[in-house]
Parts: sequence; C-alpha cells; structure tokens
Amino acid sequence: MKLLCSLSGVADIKHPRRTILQLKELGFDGVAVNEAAFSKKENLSEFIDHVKDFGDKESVICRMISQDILTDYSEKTNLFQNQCRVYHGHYLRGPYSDPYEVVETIDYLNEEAGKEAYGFCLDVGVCNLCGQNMYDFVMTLGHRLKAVILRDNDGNSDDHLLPFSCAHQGQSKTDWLNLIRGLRELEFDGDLIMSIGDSVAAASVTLRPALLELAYKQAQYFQWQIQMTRVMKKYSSRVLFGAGNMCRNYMKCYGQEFPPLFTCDNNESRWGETFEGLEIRSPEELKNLSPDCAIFICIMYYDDIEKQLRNMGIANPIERFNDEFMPSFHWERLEMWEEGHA
Amino acid sequence: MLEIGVQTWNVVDDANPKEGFEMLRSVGFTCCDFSLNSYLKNTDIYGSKINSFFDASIEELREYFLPHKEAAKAAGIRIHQMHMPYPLYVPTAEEHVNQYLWNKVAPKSMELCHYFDCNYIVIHGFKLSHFLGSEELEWQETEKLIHAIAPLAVKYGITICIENLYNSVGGHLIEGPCCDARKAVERIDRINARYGQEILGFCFDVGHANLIGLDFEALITTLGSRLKVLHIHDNDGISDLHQIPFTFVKTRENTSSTDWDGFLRGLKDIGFDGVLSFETGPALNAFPCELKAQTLHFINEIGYCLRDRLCVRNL
Repeated sequence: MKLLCSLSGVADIKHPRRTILQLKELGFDGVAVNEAAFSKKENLSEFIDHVKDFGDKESVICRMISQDILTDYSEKTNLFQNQCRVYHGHYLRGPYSDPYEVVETIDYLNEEAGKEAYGFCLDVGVCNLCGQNMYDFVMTLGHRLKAVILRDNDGNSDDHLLPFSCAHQGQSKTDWLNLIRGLRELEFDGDLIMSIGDSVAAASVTLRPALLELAYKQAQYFQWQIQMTRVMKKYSSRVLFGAGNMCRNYMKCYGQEFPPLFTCDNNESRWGETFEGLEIRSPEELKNLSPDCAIFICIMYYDDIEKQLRNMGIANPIERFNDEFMPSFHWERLEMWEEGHA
Repeated sequence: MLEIGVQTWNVVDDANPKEGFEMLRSVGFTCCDFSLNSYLKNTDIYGSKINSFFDASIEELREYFLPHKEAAKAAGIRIHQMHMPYPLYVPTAEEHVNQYLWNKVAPKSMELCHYFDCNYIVIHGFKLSHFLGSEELEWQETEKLIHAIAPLAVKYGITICIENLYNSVGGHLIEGPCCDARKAVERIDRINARYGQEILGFCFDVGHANLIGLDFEALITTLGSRLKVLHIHDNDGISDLHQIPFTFVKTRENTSSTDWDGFLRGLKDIGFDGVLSFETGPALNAFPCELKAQTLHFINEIGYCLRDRLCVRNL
C-alpha cells in the first residue's frame, strides 16, 4: 500500500520542492497533483518532469488528478473517479457514482484494451457529500479499486479537510466505519491519497508542518486498520493479550478464522478463567510460545504492553489489534471492571 | 388522472375525525395516507416506552377506527396507503418489546389496513447494518418480518411497501435501508414470485432521497412498476424536514434545490399511475394553525401542478 499526499492547497505548485521534501521526510511515498492547478499544459509536463527527477529518482510517486481521471504516470493506468453533480447548489450523485455502471464500464474498456488499463479511484469526500454506502461501493468495485482519496467534509460543502475533523457531538460526520469495513474485507492494497488542502490552507503557516505530520499519522492509521486481517493471516498461530471488550470483539469477528491459542492478562485474579471460549493465562506463559507465534495486543495501552513483553525477554512478533472499526459489533459493550481492560 | 393525497397526521384528529377528513375534501384531496404510526410513535419505540394502543383486540381497534372510516367515506377520501408504526425491531430493547412489535403491532396494522380497504402499507426496514456489518445482512432481518406478515398480505391483497431510508453519522444523514434500486428490484421480484402475488412493492420517499443525493430519475426508472407509493416532501438536503415541495433553495437564483423535474421524468418514464401523496404533516406546524386549511390547499395545488407537469411532453 502506498501513502500519498495531494499537493492541492498544500504546496505552491510552481515551487513544490520544499513541501515534497517535507512529505518525503515524513514518510509519504509520493504526491498527487490536481491538473486543474495548472493553467497551461506545458507547466503540467514541466511539473511532472520536475517531480520525476526529484531526489533519488523514482522515489517519489506522482499521480495526476484531472476532473474525472486519476493517472498513474509510472504504470499508465487510468483511474475513473466518482464525482458529484451540482443541482442548483445541491450536491447529487454524478458521473461514476453508480458502482454497478462503473464496473460495467471498466470491464468493457479493459477487455477492449486487452489489459488492465483502467481502474477506479474512490473519492471519500464525494461519497460523503452524496451519503453513499461506502462498504457497498467498495465491495461492488472489488479489484478494480486502485486508489482511495481520503478527505473529510461536513456532507454539505465540497471541502478537503483532515479526516476525523468534521464531527458533531463526538461523532465523525463521515462514515469511516463502512469505508474501512469494505477496504479491509477487500484486502485493498492500492494508494491511499490524503487530500487535506483546505485544512492546511486555512491553518497558520507555522502550524502547517504539524498538520502534515498528523496527516501522515492518519494515513498510517488507515493503513493499519485496512490491513488488520492481512496481518492476522500472516501468522500460523497467535495468542491474544487482554481479556476485555477488544478480545471479545476479536473472538466475535475473527475467532473462527484466526483462532488464538489462549489469551493472557495482567490481572492475576482472572488467570484460569475462561473468557469468550479462551483460557486466560499469565503473561509468563508467553515465554513458552513457539517463535513464530504472534502476540496480538487487545488492550489500548499498546506501547506499555509491548514494552512489558520485550522487557520479559519475549522475542515473538507483537501485533496491535484494534476494535474501533469492526466488520460487526455486539449490541452492547461489556462494562469492564478494571482500568486497562479495553 | 392521477389522484392527490396527503398524510392524515396533524389533520385528522381522533376526537373529531369527520372534521379532518372534511377539511381534506374541502381543499381538493381525494386520497390520504393514514398515519397509523402516530398511534405508537417512533421516539417512544426507540425508548421502549410502548403505549397500550395495540393491546386492544382487533375488534376493539376496528370499533375505535369506525368513526374514521365512516368520516373518510362521507368526505369521499380514499385511504390509499398507510404507514405502519416503526421501527419494528430495536436491537438494544428487551426481547418482550421486540416480540410485541413483531407479534402484535405488525399483524394488527395489517388487519387495520384491510379494515380501511387500503391496499398499501409502508414499512421501515430495520437499521442494523452498524451491528451486523452490511446492508445485505440487515435486509435479511427485514425480510424475516416481511415473511411473517406476508400471509396477511396474501389474504387481504395488500402490498407491503419498503421505503428508502437514511442513517445518521454524527448528525450527517447518509444512505440507509432500501436505497439501492437494483437490490430492491431483485428482492421485490423474488419475494413476489414466492407468494404468487404482489405482496411487496416500493415506497419512494423523495425527501429521503434528496438527503443522500440520489438520482431520482434513475432510481424510479430502475424500480419501474414496483413503485407503488410516494412520500412527497422537501428538505434542505441536510435534515429530514418534511416540508412543502419547492420550499428550499441554495443559490441566489432561488431555484429549488430539489430535482423535481428528475422526479417527474422518472414517474413519466414508468407511466406511474398511483397517487401523488404528500408526507408533509410537519409543514402544517410551520404555519399558524389558523392557516391549516390554506396550507393544505396549497399542498394540493402543488399536487395539481406536478400532475399537470407530468403531462408535458418534454420535462
């Protein structure tokens, strides 16, 4: 999976060097630029050449976003992009917003081309403006989905804001749950493009580096959430650490496909207890694991637990499970009795 | 000629149903959408505050609604469609609440629909995708309800209509149950084939569709003859306001921000021959109560206007 940042609103398109350097330093794999930002075609090609030759060659990926097509310049793949249409000031579903039609179009064009020349780029902001069910959209697209533009808005204005920044009464106004559910189930491995131009442009120049850093952390967060199942698949055996709601949710959604050997907990009084069909053992038991068995931390204090385990001399792979975006949920969460149980 | 209807909520009062139906007649309506859902409100159901209205036997309920039935008949108002109370399943409620909704409220609603000689009853699909994981799994639960009341639909010749709904995410309204026309077509056809008659149809709610930017024309055209019932109302694209059509604008040109032409093109494409039914009860609260009749008259005039426009060759 590649993590990219759109330059729109983030960098001066004529002098992008400094911003691109910063993005690269943060860890982004590349940039995306909006064709509309260039008044002349020659400026556009100049920019592409500039980015291509930037730093160590080919280390910065460049994607071009035009009105409805996102182009991967290295692989020459054209990605259709969902759009709105504006009806007297009101956003309605526009071109490439019907996933069934999109699938028909892409399959037809690829068959004509005799190769996978076309794919799809899902603009989350557009889906949000049109209240679309992103799980269904993603699942209908399937393997045709090659890139996802991550941005937030309030559902009424076509803004490019930092994800999770549009909220009401403690809840995000974008349906991230259905997006992540879909991308995780699909095992999406394409480009994630952060498009946060309005947030960056509105902030003080002095705060912009911090915003971009946050944007990169968010991109990593999405990557982590999307790849959760993929990570579980990597290991032939696994154990859990934690015996609370997160463990319960693991067992509900993944217990059958990726069954853990047992779970453990720091609370001595629970050792020997059975929770969600798993025996709760002492963390000391983890020292007896076979080396390839992974430990999935199911408590939100990931750093503390990982440090504890490493200090115990445990060298097994340690992964972080999270239940914020799950394929399904219990009707109610358990009220846990001790701080530290998620 | 298409008939024009409006919901009875806020118009027909139990204390004097004759007055309400007479008012509907006097302003020009010939049909109504009987608001059975007003006898067990959704806000109460969500809070597990179930009143005793549906505890009554069907005989008692018929007796209760006899004045309504007679008043509607006397005024020449046909009860074309009715709305079943909703939701009929609350995941966080105790089991006995859901049992009551399923086993008492739903079948008695069907019996009352028949009592009013009404052919269409609108239900709300369950909103469970957050918990279950997908709209498909959510639909499977709704379908169980449909199968539970299907024998009564067969017996009485009633078509149960599923309605496009929304969900809320942080106060932002997004696609909910029954918004995918292709899925609706498959489900309606499959279920009707199983029962050998049209026990399932679709209720297109214009306001709900506007909230999530649906293409009215495409949706209606895809549904085709499965579209049986309408909920016509308007909003600002943000909140489910149930106001009078052509009320909202978003630009200085002051043109309606709801795609009424697309709506009419869709109806025209499929040769819709049902009732132009308005679900605009809340709009009556927006105007002084002294203007209720005039407001209803205006709504009915809009119905005439939409009907006239449907006759125009090029919309």
